[in-house]
Amino acid sequence: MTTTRITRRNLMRSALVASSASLVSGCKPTSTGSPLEPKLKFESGAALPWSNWAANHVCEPSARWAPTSEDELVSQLGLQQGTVRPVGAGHSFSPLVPTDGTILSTDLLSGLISSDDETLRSEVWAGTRLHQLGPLLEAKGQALPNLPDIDYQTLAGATATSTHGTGIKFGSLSSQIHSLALATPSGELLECDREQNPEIFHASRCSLGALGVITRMTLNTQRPFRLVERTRVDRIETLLEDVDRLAAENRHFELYAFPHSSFGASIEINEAQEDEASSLEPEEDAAELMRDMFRGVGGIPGIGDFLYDQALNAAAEGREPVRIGPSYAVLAHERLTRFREMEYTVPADAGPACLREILEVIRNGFPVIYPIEYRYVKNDDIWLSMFHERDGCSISIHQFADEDHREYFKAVERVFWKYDGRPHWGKIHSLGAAELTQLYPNWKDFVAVRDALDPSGKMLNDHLKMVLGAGSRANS
Amino acid sequence: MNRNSISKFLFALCVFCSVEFVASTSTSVSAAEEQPVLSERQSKAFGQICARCHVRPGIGVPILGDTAEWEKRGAKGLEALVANTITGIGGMPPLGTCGFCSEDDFRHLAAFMARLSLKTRAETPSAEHAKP
Repeated sequence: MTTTRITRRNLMRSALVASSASLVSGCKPTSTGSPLEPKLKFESGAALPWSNWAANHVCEPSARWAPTSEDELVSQLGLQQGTVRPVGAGHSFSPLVPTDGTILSTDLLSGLISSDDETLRSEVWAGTRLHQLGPLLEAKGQALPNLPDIDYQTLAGATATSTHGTGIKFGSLSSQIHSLALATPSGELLECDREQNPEIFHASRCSLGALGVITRMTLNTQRPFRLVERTRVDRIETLLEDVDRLAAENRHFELYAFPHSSFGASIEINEAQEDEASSLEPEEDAAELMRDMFRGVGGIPGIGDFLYDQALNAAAEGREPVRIGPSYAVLAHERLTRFREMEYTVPADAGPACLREILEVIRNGFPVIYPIEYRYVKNDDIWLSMFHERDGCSISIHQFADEDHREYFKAVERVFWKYDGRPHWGKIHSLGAAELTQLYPNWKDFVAVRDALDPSGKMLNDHLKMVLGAGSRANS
Repeated sequence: MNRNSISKFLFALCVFCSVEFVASTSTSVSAAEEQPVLSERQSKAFGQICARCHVRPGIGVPILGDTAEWEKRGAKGLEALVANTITGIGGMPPLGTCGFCSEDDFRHLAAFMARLSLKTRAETPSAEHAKP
């Protein structure tokens, strides 16, 4: 997620102003600490465990395997007896990867394979990291039309979960796939697109890594372009009242709501003019500073939220940060603060009401300040995509990794359900097959493809058995 | 050329030709200071994964070539760097997001970035070729 471009100096000044105004010491809520702190233990010389980025899932695989060629991957995958789980950058917050079987890393299958200048398509190895894609494509006169706001992930991992950026005119990263090659659990290599193996194509563009391993994919691109990103802080109600226009008139638009305040941030990204020079100063991640500020004043009975609001207002006054540069550099942001995340996608027109209700839940019960991320994504025809057949508004809530997120997430998840939300496959949620099957019109089609490709469940760990209902045939 | 420009240049090199860049750099310092020579896969890990953050100035992580920052970290010893890389510390995620790196890979990469000698520690078994 993106935190606001409020600087450290302004935040500290504002915190001081607010604390002084209160004439009392800030009441500091006691951090209970998280029972979900990193569990990974390292003992030199012992088998290396695996952990995801957020360190909320750890496992001890019996083998780690990084194929160096497509042939090796295909032939060896077919010979595997136990569970195999593919891993990219491990950025998912949900337990898509953990297994006591084999972890298969796609990292060594990376890079650009070919580019077609006429069709504006490029074929890349699926283990390519997103941060590599921009420069690689640019060198061939191409660029992806949109990108997620973080770029640590592999292409395979990001598309397996329909990872997305923002912009109502643009679909998820998965929707940019023109064709792909899938190594099946039985050791075949299938070429898939809308004409060839179309059902597998529709299933595998967002497959949770449950159908096999995608080795390479051809992406639809466009000519390289530059973007300008402008951030401004305003009253959240002012922004929400204008949100349809903001979403329609900007190439990319996202909004951040600041809990326990009346403010939010509007981030508007459009194509840069030729005479606008690039300016990509490193961003500061303000989340920790906002937490310190809230701890300083937010707990003061009766006026805590008011003081926090004043401090945020002072911090943002007169500031409208601008970033200009190549599309891939502007769309991606740094993420060094460790957090846990839940995201649901609700129908686009339900976004404002859903966000307002979430803010109310937080205001009435949770001392949470992590900004809430609010984005729009165009509909697609991918069977398990959160944007399947409907334009979506993706709303993400976060909690610092050293604080317990569980009660907060549980309360907000109930709001998401009320608005017919679909959970992000790579983020925290509590739904199983019985609920998920109601959310996806082509659920049974996906399960049929999975059953046919992997009848023994080689690609399934416990989490996938739960969400896909594999074994119990909850979907049938 | 200022530090930002140098880092941007390094990053571009890492993206486009990580193996060649890292191999040549490590070779040049290893002769004098017993620095590790990265294998092809370790070079790929550096260019594809480590470089995402460690050649970008201003984001709060020590960048390659920032001697002062790496000396502070190196003072803890190579084994502490390896352990922190694997378990994660601060903004550094567990395993540095490398799904294939072995302990030996992490040791080489940490020594390479911090300009530390591998000779301070006995070799650990390499999992480089661990396949199912």
